[in-house]
Amino acid sequence: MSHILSWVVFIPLIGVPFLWLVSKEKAKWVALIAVIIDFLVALPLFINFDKALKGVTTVGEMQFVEKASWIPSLGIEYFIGVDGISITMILLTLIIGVMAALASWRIGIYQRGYFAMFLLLETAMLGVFVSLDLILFYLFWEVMLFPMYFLIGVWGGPRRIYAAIKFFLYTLLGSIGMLLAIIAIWYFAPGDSTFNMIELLQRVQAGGEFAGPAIFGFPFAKVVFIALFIGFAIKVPIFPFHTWLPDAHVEAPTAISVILAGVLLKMGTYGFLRINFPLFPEVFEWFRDFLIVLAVINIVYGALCALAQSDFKKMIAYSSVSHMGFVILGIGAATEQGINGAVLQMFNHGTITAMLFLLVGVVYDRAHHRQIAGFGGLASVTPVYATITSLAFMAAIGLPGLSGFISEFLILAGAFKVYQVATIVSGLGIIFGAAYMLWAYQRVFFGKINEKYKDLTDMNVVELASVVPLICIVIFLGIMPNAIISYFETSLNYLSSILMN
Amino acid sequence: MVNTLPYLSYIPAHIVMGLAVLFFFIGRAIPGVRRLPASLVFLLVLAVCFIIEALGSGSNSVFFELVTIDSFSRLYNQIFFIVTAVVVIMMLYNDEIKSKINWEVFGLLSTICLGMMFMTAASNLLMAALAIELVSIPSYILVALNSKNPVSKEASLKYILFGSFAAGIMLYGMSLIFGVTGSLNFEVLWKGLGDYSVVNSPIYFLAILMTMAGMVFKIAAVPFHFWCPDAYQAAPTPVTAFLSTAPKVAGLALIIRFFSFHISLQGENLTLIISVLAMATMTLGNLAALKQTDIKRLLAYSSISHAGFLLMGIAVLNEAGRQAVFFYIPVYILMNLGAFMAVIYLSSGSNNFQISSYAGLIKKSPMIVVGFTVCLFSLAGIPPFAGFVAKFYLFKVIIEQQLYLLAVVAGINSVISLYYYVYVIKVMIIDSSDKPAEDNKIGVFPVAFVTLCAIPIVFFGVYWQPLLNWAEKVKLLM
Repeated sequence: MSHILSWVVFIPLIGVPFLWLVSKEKAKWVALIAVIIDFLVALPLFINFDKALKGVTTVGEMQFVEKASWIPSLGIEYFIGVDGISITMILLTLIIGVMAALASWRIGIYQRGYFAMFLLLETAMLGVFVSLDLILFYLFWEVMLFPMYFLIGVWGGPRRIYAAIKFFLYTLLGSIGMLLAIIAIWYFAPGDSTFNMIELLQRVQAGGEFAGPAIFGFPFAKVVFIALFIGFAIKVPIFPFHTWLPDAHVEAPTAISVILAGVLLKMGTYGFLRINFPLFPEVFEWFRDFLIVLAVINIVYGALCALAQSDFKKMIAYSSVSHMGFVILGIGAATEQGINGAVLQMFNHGTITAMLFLLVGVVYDRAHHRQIAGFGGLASVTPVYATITSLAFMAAIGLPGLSGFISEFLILAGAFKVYQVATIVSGLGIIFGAAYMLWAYQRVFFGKINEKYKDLTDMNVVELASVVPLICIVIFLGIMPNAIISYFETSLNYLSSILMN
Repeated sequence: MVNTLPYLSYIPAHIVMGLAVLFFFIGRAIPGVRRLPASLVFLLVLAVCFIIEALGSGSNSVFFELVTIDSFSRLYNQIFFIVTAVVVIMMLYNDEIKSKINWEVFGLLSTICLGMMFMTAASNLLMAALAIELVSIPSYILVALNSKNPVSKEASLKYILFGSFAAGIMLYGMSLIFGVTGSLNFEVLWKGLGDYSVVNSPIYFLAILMTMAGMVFKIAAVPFHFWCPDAYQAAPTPVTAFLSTAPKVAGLALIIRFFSFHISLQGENLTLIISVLAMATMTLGNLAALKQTDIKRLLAYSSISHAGFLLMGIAVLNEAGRQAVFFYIPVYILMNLGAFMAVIYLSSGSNNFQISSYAGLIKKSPMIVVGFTVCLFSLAGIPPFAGFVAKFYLFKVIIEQQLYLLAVVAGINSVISLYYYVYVIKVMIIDSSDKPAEDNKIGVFPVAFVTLCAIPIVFFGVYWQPLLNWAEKVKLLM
């Protein structure tokens, strides 16, 4: 099928008008069918993907490329394509999309509006990962802001309005910096002004430099790098730009937390790998040490915060901060193992944290609160739920045999070559991770049964359908990680060689 | 054909003047004429003028070089005709002044139209002053039309006093320029100020700044913006919609034309002056809007901050900046007219313009609220709406000129402005209210209108090349 990538990106959006052709209760089926069709349409992408092509800076080696002139006067094109990094993220987005649609089964008000925003968000996320033109990238990036605002603000928890506007303003501030940086990159590009990402990367690889004037007295490349960095760092989120995350995650409805943690956070690190670091390799060299410090702070501080939480969902939100710290550690190390581990961690964290939020949603739907201390002894009341949650928690801790271990191991091995102290301190993060996860599990599932909840119903079919596929992926990748590593290995090894020089 | 005799190339202006005479005098004097439907006559004549403007071409300097007609003035006049026609239609749907729509109102609108046409075509300071007054004085009266609202007359008086004050300063500045250069013609006066010793002297800054007072007043930029919130709040909503679009655009056109004749020696100082004005206007407009509880006041401050953004495009003083402004203006007009029409519809039952009274209106009037939301997000500059594209072009031109402080201030202001636009959206969509539904007595037309404003906003947000092609046709002196 021609233009398969465009279809994959826009099928969710095409599904939006159909929401108004059915009754409100049937709207969720339309959305579910749309994301499943999207996944099925995308299967040829994964089957026909050539794992030997490195992409990244060579246009000829990007796959499923589509190029059309869009705004000729500025040279903006509709230029999309995938390489190793993008294809992994596309797979993640599609899987999470289906799981989130299942998690939205119990939305009670304005269903059509909810799923319209949901499908628009899905298109925007897919668009970000395939865009190879800076303005197209930026447009898709921004398009997901206002659906997120509505999704959190209308269907969220008690403090949803505060959380939604905080998310919107915070992310927009970073995005404006990113826009100014993109315009500066375009205007002061080595050679002709262009928005074509791959072209720019190629020129930088060939030795081109951004010959811009000093901005407020600082060197041009450094200021633009920092502006881009802050824009992406807010998304990851990197300390100290992480304060929007606990609020947004906790107040969002379950499905939106799943999307937020599963995909949106990865867009930040994807931005680092695709745009920020390869375009400015010398500034990356200068910035690396500081980046590693930030990564370690993320890991350890995030874990300590998680340890202190009494709200189940907030604890998992902070654990997200901690796990993304590992991704930053891997990228900052820039060794082959480090970067491969980082992208694997991106994929794994997406699936694992999605599972965690889905499982919290299960108990919240029944008990209408998320206080860890308010539960007890649920293992005997809801054994299926307890088993699945234990698997999920073990994956989050990084137990060997499950996917989390492989990625964390690769990152630590890759980082140890260059930053020994940081790696050792990050090991602490893993220990704290085990601490808060196991302690929470013990308080909720073991111990005396809480009288209030001895009649809790176990997971129903829809909830199981949303979690079990993720469990299977986690177990599979724990034993056969090469199934996915082979997709991005070539591209990332090449990227690592770019960044290491 | 219309340009064979330069005198006749300004036919549309003659026609509009004839309209004013018709509405003010003949309508009273000749009994039979009064029976004609005034709004229909007005709209028909505007349509005729629009067609004449569309057929014109080339550039002419007429009336002893007081006025220059080129594609710039022609295309802007077309915009003014459309906006005035739309506002007249809005007036028919608004009971604040429905009873007052008589011939005098159309006479006032004709005079304002005439003034705006002169503002875009003026090439002489005296003509500029005359045109500004031609626009201002009828506006003072239009603001006072709302007899139901006692604040209306107070706002009008504030507007009059402020306008006279600004006009006085402007005339003094113009006389200073005349004193230094000996001419009031734009081209000649900038050459006269082109000496190096003059460019850095206090009299130069004084003269330029004071002359700008009148123009800055017209676009409601800092420090001559004080009249704006009061006048916008107290005037009937269609009049507010009109004031926030047409005269503001005319003022910007005048500023563009005035500064376009500068010579390169003066460029740096002028960029500095206009940038400072832009930054102050944006920031003050946004910060003041954060605390507003009345929707019309909020939109007034929002239009002040948008004037600040547009001044950014003018500050770069080159063709690219002008193109960015030409692109922004139709988008701005669409967004504003859509927003004000939604306000008319949503407040028509209760006549309450407090934002809190809009709570939960998504349930009663979903289409209008969605259209209003699109306009508000576009005003905030969020993709995928046209407002973002317009802001993108402004950012592009200022980064090309390396005005980095301006870029950072503009960026931060974009984020600040989001808060108050989203506040209105939040009240309409997320808040709920226990009040019983009040019937809106004005029917389906406003819904269609707002939707017709929202659709191009979304379309141009994704594919804006057609608008870009139009903006490239607007050229000075061609």
